[in-house]
Amino acid sequence: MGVNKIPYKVVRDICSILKLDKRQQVRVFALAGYPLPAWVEELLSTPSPIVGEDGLVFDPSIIGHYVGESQEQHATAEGNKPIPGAENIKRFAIERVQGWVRITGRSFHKTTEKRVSTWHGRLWKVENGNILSFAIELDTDSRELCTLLVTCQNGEAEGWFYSGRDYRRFIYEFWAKKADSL
Amino acid sequence: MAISGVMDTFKDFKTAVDTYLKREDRSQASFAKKLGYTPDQLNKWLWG
Repeated sequence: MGVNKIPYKVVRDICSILKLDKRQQVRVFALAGYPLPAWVEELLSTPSPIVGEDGLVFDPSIIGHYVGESQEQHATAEGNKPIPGAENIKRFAIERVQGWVRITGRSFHKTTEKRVSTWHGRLWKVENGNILSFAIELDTDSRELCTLLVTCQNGEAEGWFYSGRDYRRFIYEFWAKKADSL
Repeated sequence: MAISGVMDTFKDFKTAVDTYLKREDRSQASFAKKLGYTPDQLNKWLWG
């Protein structure tokens, strides 16, 4: 970088406004002249070896069935804005199965109540015991691989469901409450 | 929420920011305003 090196704070604001994920932030900070230690990047590029192992560390009370709604988002000049009347996630389940954790879910159209998609996936990463990242696969249509980030706490869940194929078209913010059974 | 799982590779800082701005359908000028700086100042920083 030359004499016009961008201030650290501005890089931080850029990452925040553009909602960059951790990997993207590491890359952007490095390109701006603020490289992070190599171990940080290695940590980010290596998914936690959680799936299939019995060393999972998370709050067991978050396991269960959840019902809720999702809201499709689209990008605007002011950031992502909700699109009314879109897909509605009715239910999903997070279950521990012999040492690993799986998620299964079904979504339905908000007005017609027709099923829109079914999906299933495996836990990919845990943060702070209750922020779970899942790599999930849609069963409907293209069997597209998506990601679901869910924070479960006190019987409630919220998070994001999104596809890497088209960032703007496939973002669903959701809210859900834990239910006794499906 | 941003997308994870795919590592973005860019040749420089400006290319990275321009790419993310394009994904968000934002102009550099409006983004500069959002950040609280002039477009000229942001442009200088992007070029480094």
